[in-house]
This record gives sequence, C-alpha cells and structure tokens, in this order.
Amino acid sequence: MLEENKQNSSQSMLASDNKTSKTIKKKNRAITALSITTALLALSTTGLAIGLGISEKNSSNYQNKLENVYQSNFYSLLDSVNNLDNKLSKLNNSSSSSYQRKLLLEASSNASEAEISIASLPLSQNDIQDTVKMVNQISGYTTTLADKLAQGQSLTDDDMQTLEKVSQSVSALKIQLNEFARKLDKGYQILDASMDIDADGNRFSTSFSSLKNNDVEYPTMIYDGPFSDSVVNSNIKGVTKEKVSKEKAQEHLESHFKSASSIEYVGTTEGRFQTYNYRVTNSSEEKLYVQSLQQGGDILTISGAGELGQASIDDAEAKNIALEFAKLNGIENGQVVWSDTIENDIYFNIAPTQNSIILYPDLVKVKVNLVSGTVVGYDATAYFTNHTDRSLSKGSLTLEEGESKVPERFTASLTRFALVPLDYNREVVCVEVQAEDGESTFYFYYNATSGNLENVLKVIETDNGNLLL
Amino acid sequence: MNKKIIVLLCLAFALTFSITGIKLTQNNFEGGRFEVAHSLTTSQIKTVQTKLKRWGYYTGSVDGIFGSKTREAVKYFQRKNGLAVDGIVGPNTARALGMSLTSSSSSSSSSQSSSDLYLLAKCVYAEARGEPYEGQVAVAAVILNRVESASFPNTISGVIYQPGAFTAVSDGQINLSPNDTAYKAAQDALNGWDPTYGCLYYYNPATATSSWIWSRQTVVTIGKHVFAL
Repeated sequence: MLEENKQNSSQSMLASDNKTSKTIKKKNRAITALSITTALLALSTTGLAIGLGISEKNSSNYQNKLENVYQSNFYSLLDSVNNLDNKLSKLNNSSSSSYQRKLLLEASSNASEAEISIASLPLSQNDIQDTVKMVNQISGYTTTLADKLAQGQSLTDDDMQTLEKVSQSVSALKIQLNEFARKLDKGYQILDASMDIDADGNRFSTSFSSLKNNDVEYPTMIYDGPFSDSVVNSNIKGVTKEKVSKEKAQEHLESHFKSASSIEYVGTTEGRFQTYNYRVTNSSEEKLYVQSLQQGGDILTISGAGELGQASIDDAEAKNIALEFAKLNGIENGQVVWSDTIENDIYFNIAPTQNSIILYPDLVKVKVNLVSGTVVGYDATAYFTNHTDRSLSKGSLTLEEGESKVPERFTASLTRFALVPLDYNREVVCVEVQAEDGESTFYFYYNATSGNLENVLKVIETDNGNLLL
Repeated sequence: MNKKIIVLLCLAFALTFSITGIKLTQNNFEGGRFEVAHSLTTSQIKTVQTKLKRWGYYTGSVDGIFGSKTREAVKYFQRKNGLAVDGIVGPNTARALGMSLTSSSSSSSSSQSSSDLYLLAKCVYAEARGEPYEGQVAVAAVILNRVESASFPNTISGVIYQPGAFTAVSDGQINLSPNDTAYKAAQDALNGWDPTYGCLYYYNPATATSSWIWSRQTVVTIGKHVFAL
C-alpha cells in the first residue's frame, strides 16, 4: 500500500515534474534570450562607445592638427612682418643704392610671404582685406623701386617719405601681432578665436580685428606696378558715344542676330562698364547672354556655352565667321593673332591693324562653336578699355634691322610692326620678330624708336593650341 | 522572441559598423584616385578622355581624373582594338590612341595651368551648378578678379581655399567632380571673359547672412547671384 502510494506519489511527482520541466524550459529559454539580448546590447553599446570614442579622438586629433596649421601660419606671418619691419627701417638709414636695392627686394619677398600667411588664417575677408592690400602693395611698390634702382636712377625724397610711412604702418602691425602671439603663448587657440560670433552673426575674431584699418594707418603708395591703385582705376578710353535707350541697343543687337528665335531684355550692369543685358536664343537654339554698352549700343560681351557633338565646320570656316563678326562690330582690318581649340569651341584673338601696325592692346576675343557654326562668345572689353585714335609712327627701326637683332641661333619666320602694351600703362610700337631655334618658337619685341629689346615671349605648345609665356 | 533577437542583432551590427563603414568607403575612394595619379599627368588623362569621348567610348566629363568611368572607357577601347584589357594606358594603348606618353619639357607648365583650370571648374560647379551659364562664368571671373586684386591672395588656389571665403569649400562640395558646363565656364573666364567687369563679391540675397556684404556696390544680377564690387 505504502509502496503503491509511493509509486503513486512518484507517478504524480513525475507528472508534475513534466509540467514544471516545461515551465523551466520556457523560463530557461526566456533567460537565454534575455541574456543574449543583454549581451548583444552590451556589445553594441560598447561598440558604439568605442566608435564614438574613436571618432571623438579623431575629431580632437583633427582639431589639434588644424590648430597647429593655423598657429604655424600665424608664426610665419609674425616672422615675415618682423623681417619686413627690419628691412624697411634699415632702408630709411641707408644711402648706398646697391644695398637699398637688396633690401627692397628682400622686403618685397617678406611682404608677399606675409600675404600668403594672413590669407590662410581663418579670418573674415572684411577684417583682413586692408592688411592684405597693404602687404601686397608694399610688395609691388618695393619691387618697382628696386627696378628703378636697377635702371641707374636713385630714390627721390618722395620715395623715402613714403617708405618712412610704410615702415611706421608695418611697425604698428608688428606690435599688434606680437600682442596676439603672447596670447597664444598663454594657451589661447586660433580655432576658438575664429568661432567668435559678432552681433550680425559673422564669424570673425575680435582678437584679430586689430588687423582692420582702425589702428594701423595705411599709406598711399603711388607707383605703376602690380596691385597699384592707378592700374586698378585706369580709365576707359574706348567708350565715347552718346547714351542710347535699351530699345535702341536691342535694335542694334537684332541686326547682329537676324535669325535669333528670341531676344529678351534682362537688366543692366552698373559697374566699370554700363551695359544693357539681353538673353538671346540664336538660330541653333543656343542661349547667349549679351551685354551691350549703354553708350552707343555696341556689343561688349557675349557669354555662351556652345553645343557638344559632331563638328559641322572646320577651323578655316570658323576663322572666317570670327573675322566677319569682328568686322561687323567695328574691328578694322582684324587679324587673327592666336587661336585655341577646346573640345567643340575655337577661340580667336583678333587684333585690329592701323598702318599695318598690329594693335595688341585692342584685342577682341571671338569664340565660335564648331558644331553649330555660330559665334557663342565675344569679348571686347580690352578693345573698349584701350581703343583710342592714336597717331602711330613706325619709328626709325626697319623690319630688316629688327630681324638682324635676333640672337644668331634663331631663324626669323615672321617680322611685322606691332603696338605692344608694356608695364601696365605704356604702349610702344615695336618690331615683332617670330623666330625659331630648332626646338621652340619665340617672339622678340624691339622698340621701334630706340631699338632696345622690350620683351621676349616663348611659345609653349599645348594639346589644344599655343600658350604664350 | 526570435524575431526580436534578429531585429536587435541587426540593429546592433548596423550601429557598431556604421561609423567604421563610412570610413572604409572613403578610404577606398581615395586609394583609387591615388593609384592612377602617379602613372599619367592630368593633361595626359585629359587627352585620353578627349580622344575616347570623341570616338564615343567615354561619356563622362573631361576632368583630368582617371576615375572608374575613364577606366571602363579605356577597357572598352582596348576590347574593341584587340589590346590587353586591363584599363591601364600603357605604351600599346597610348599608341593606339595616337598619343605619346613621354612628357616633353613643355608639359609641366601646361599641366600647371590645366590643374588651375580643374580647380576653378570644381569651385564653379560647387558654388554655382544651378546657375545659368553666364552666372557660372561670372563666378569663375570673380575668383580670377580676386587673384588680380591687392586685397586678396595672389593665386587661384589661395583665393579658393582662403578660410571661409566660399561656402562650398567649407562644406566639402568643392570635391564634387565638375561637369562640362562648369569646365567651359572656367575656361572662358581664364580666357578673359568677365560678365561682371571686375566684381570681387557675389551673394545670394535670399541666403546671405553677413551684413557687411550688403554695403558693397552691386553691379549686376545674374540668376540668383548679386555681383558686387
């Protein structure tokens, strides 16, 4: 009985065991699932944390690298300005022209180094432009003075006075930069400075705004050379006609684009040149942007992309189209002096001639599309800037004499008279000699009056056309 | 329960590898560009691209970069001409293309100017790809006017990479490959075209944030950009 009972109870225990083992299994599964999930979550969190850590570390690495680049730029700026200051103060106390020339050339390169360093700092253009302009002009001015000394002239009292003023400005700049350097020594970061935001939301460094013109006085440097104000503000000689209405200018334009499918007036340009602007869709459905002078209505600029595809005309036909277009726009006796084919467009530089003298300052550029066979670009800004009635004489040098001046190893292939623009504001009639030395082609320019060599150009052949250097 | 595990698993993997994943693809891309830059000069790559394009093997832009499109075009050309198909422009492929690989003394200076052209085209594309053609020429012209100006750096790269000067440089869009139009616009500007006649600034009046830009004398509006002195 007992046995039976035992058996019974064990049986019932077995039955209940079966039940509990099922729940236990379920529970186990849940626990396994939970632990896997937890493990995975933990893994992914660790992964994320590591990933974030790495990216955080990377980003602070990048930040340090950037800061180092900025600081290195700043310290080279400091060096260049210190050197420039030294050279300028020495200049004011030296009278030997050969030593002056050496100092001027060194000052010029210090100034251009300073420009490169300033421009690579994270400062707003508004803050640095006056300083950049000053060092650029110092570089141009000192070079011009050094050239003057090289030609046997000496520095005038005016030159010395300007140099004195320049020297004072550079000293003031130097003091401010040194102040900032002391801040950096104390752990200040340029990156922090560049993140400062002013009331208008501009990013700029208040610490660097000392580079603005408030504190440093900028002297006026008058010279004919790179970056001088006189060159920037050179006046426009070729726009002399009366102002016309935009309707009148459009009529003139229509006479050039007789088969245009549409011409639409889109506004004006009010800058160095005043123009009426039109959007022209030509007969080949190319969209052109045409700017016609408000004075006289002549076409000043055409900008257009031109089609891509199979060329339908050859270079000779394109040349005739370009010359015809230039003639229609008042370029008298135009001659192609340079051409360059780039994909489906061919560029022609056309110079007018006067008494068989080529007028290089009055170049116009015509771009002809070889697919559509139409003019898709025109630029007459040089023509309208420089063109004026000139009384040109050929001087005393003959073409033969010019040719004989070319060094012996060259063979001349083309000799002609040309009006050549020289150092910014000077035009000189020269004998132009094109000559080859077996390897390269050169252009020599001999002053038609004095016979002096004024310029040499070397032709560099490129894949597409010829580049003159 | 099982489904949940799978979802979690996927999430976990996605999260863990997303960061490293991006880095991996970037590295691959740079590696690809590096490898070819050594074998051909930019101007030579451009010659290859121009020729392949003219003959209908290549449809991309002539940008002087030997990317995957160019490599595919070279392979296509090699297959059609019975050459070893490896996508590399070696002496045989070069001969079949009608070009020589030996660089003459002049190539260094011409490739220098073409790298300027490429940089300019990249900046035009990044800054003004939605603009009309003349607007793109104008942007390129502004960059070149800055090079000429005393108040700005004196090289194309100096102007383009001046910190904060161009938003498209700051946010990395400068690294997109330029299209044909941007290329042509840059070329026109280098050849002297300037529809702004000397402008140094441009801005989009709808998005411009700095106040001092408004004080500049405006010259012309082309597309969405106002050009100013």
